[in-house]
Amino acid sequence: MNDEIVLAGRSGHQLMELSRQMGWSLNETEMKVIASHFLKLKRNPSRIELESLAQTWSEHCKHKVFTGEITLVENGKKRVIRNLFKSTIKKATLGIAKKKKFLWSVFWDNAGIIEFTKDFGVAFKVETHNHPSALDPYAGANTGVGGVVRDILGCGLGAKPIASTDVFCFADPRTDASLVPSGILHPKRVFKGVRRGVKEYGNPMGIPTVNGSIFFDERFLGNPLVFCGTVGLIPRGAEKKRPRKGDSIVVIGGRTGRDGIHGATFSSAELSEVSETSVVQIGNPIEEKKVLDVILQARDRRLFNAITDFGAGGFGSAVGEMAQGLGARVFLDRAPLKQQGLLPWEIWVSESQERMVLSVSPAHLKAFRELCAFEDVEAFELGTFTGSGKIELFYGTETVGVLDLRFLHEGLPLFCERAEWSAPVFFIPSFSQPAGLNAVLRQLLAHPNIASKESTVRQYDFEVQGGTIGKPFVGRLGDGPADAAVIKPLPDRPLAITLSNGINPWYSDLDPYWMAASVIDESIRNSLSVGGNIDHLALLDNFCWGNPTDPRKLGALVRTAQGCHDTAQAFGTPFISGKDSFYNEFRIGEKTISVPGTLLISAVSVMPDASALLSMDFKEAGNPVYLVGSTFNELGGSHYLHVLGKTGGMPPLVRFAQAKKIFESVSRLTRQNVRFAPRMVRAIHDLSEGGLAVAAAEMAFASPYGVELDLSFVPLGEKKMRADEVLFSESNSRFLIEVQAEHENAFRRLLKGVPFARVGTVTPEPFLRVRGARGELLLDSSCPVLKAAWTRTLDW
Amino acid sequence: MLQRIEVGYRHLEDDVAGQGVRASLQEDLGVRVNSVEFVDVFESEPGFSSKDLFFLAENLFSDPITQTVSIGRPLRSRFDFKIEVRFHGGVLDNVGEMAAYAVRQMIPSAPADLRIHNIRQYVLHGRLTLVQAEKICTKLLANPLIEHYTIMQRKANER
Repeated sequence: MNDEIVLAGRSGHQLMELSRQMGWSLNETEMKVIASHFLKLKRNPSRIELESLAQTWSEHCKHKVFTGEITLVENGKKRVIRNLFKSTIKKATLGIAKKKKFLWSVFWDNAGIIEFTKDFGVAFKVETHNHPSALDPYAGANTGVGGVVRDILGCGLGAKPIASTDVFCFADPRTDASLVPSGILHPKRVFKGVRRGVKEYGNPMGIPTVNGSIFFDERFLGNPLVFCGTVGLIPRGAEKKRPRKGDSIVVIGGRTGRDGIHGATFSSAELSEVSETSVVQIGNPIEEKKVLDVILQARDRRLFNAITDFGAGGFGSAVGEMAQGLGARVFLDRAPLKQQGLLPWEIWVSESQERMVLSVSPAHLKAFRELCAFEDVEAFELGTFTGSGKIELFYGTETVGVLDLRFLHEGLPLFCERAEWSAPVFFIPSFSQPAGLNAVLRQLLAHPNIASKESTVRQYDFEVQGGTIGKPFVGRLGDGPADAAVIKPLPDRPLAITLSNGINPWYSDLDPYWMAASVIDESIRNSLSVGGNIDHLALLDNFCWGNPTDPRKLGALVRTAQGCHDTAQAFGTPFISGKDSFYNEFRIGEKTISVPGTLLISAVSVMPDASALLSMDFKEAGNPVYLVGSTFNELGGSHYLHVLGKTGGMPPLVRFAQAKKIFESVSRLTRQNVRFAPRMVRAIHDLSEGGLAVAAAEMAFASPYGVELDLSFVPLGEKKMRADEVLFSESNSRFLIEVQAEHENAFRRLLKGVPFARVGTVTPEPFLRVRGARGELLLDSSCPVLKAAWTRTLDW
Repeated sequence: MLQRIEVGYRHLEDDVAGQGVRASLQEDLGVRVNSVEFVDVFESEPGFSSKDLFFLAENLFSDPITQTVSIGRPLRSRFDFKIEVRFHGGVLDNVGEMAAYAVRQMIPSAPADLRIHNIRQYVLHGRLTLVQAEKICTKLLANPLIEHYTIMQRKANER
């Protein structure tokens, strides 16, 4: 083997220096383990072997933080956590799986799969594409969508993508340009680029983009977060896969190029003003559509035994993963290239887009090749799966590397870090109730986190495939913000899928545990508000964190994972898939800005009857309006405090037992609803950012009507609360519901045992009027005025 | 030989891309210009016979109802600034690749090593300084990580 690299004899410091120079992102312990492995083999490693190890052992591929050993010092007490993922998120799922039987495939594959009907499953995966999107927003988001679509294509024996979701975190697009340091793109440019990137992948592929959310905070300035999710439909039996010894390793799709080398290891590095540029790639959705057509036909004809996508780490990661328990012989010179002159190691780790790898038995090779030719997709045989336990890499007749599979997958030393956590002390900010609450409400509605995202959503095709029955915007004019999307993918069956999300990093500044509980609660609330079913609902977690070697940040991560476990367990809503992204930091000169600890929860639920679909706009004047759930003085991390420029406060907690009861009651309500004519529940909206006032305003201005509320009837969780606290608290597990007048009694019966009260009435005049305990008018705004405030902020 | 085809719109109101850039200039950068014309440029290597070239220009590269084409010379001769943005070598040029694919479908005798590059041209009309034009490039039209740009300024004595 040529291009040997001498590790023996190098000091720890020198090894680290080498890792840094080569862009491997391996730490000193890992470099030492690799050095001693090759010392035992009595030879020097080649470049390609070290590249393979670096990519496979990257945070991106091995999730070292979540599977490592964390020594947590919590309030002065020390405890060791071995495998945070297993002891929190996975533990919750395994516990729930004993009772709920809808889980088909969780955690091991490219996507999680739950049962939809007896013969179809729903696959769901959400990825992050933060670092590439920081460098070029368009290209980063574009390939982010392409990547997660391939995850769905490469899950089981291939699922058919039926919907996409996209969630972004940016800095405020109104940020003054002079405050944006050089080397960083202005947040508005990032926003526009990301949006165009999503549009120009999802739309041409014919996959509707149906759900999403955008959260703004100045700490996302240098490191925006871009979450891309895709849902697929998979026939029963196709959720399992296994390559066989003797199968050909067949690669289909795009060609291999120099673009996208070192993406996996790059994601473990902090961004700086001089980041590598070869990691910027642009996607080709038309190529991926052709690949999709091949895969689905080949799946139905069972022409292959296993499939996966090429994500981070390229051939090296994907082939290394598939060959586990087998072995592989790989001929790198066979790969068709985009440009000549690529070195073998570059071919092996290139992350060029739109490529998939399949394990095809020799008997089907001819038929598979014919199918590819028919669909105009390039296919070639990269090598074969063997039983040697080794990956043998050739270029022509020359051996360029030999990797022991066991060392590749199990040789990685445990990530060991110290974490710290001390119970937060909440202080309640003291201020008097502002005089002009109407103006405060307008400010809240105009806040970019709450403001209408219609100008963004309308750029996406959310109708293609014809199954989107619950649209992102609802109401008589189609401009009210829906809580979740509903897809009915099978024309001949009444079942539907709800897609929703929850995200709020501001709560994690106060207590990440309650942040996790709150965003799970939010994602479930959103789902139930369109008719989702709490008994058939699954969650996906996406963590975006700063540097995990900072004990406080790692402590916050542990605390978040515990929140995930406790909440999921309490609600009986299992996690089925997830992803983590670390080192979301940006350095400018001496200053490091880290993103706030951000957890995106995506919820997927199966509705047995699509006609139970609900929307949030008021339907009929004179109908009573009910508030379900208790309101507490929980202004911590709220948008109300934010627009007032205050900090502190209690973060919203989740009272697990009561919340579960509320969710079950609301779920029952929406299921029974189809038996009533006219429907009993006419409109339902969850209370989140901006609390009761914002939810009521949105329900009103999405309709031609108005609403009158009386705060003295609001069910309170604590004795003394000021009117502004009741109006703007972001307490969890609450819904505002318009009930058909003649069905009020039935409605009350169905909600027995949970806190609820009639708080107002839908009015024929389009005004939002709220009265306080003494009958005083606290809010009196015309709905068109409120709506104008809400639509203006992001109307470009 | 390198051949160049430039495609633009007959009427300003059909030029959505140009209008979008004009609006972004004003809203995002605070720069006012009278108008922006967008021109799609295709560079082909090797070139074609003039018969093939005219056929392709009419039937592939342009919509003859809304667009006009210029072969071998600039479509827009009147401008204050002309900015062209193209990808660095090695960055995927979807439009260029798709154009080459289409050419091979329409002209089976097209050379196998045919390469077509797509270049975005923005023709700006308005009072601007060179410094402003640079800013327009780096802040709006091009990302130097994956693209490079050229700026052409009208000669001072022309009007």
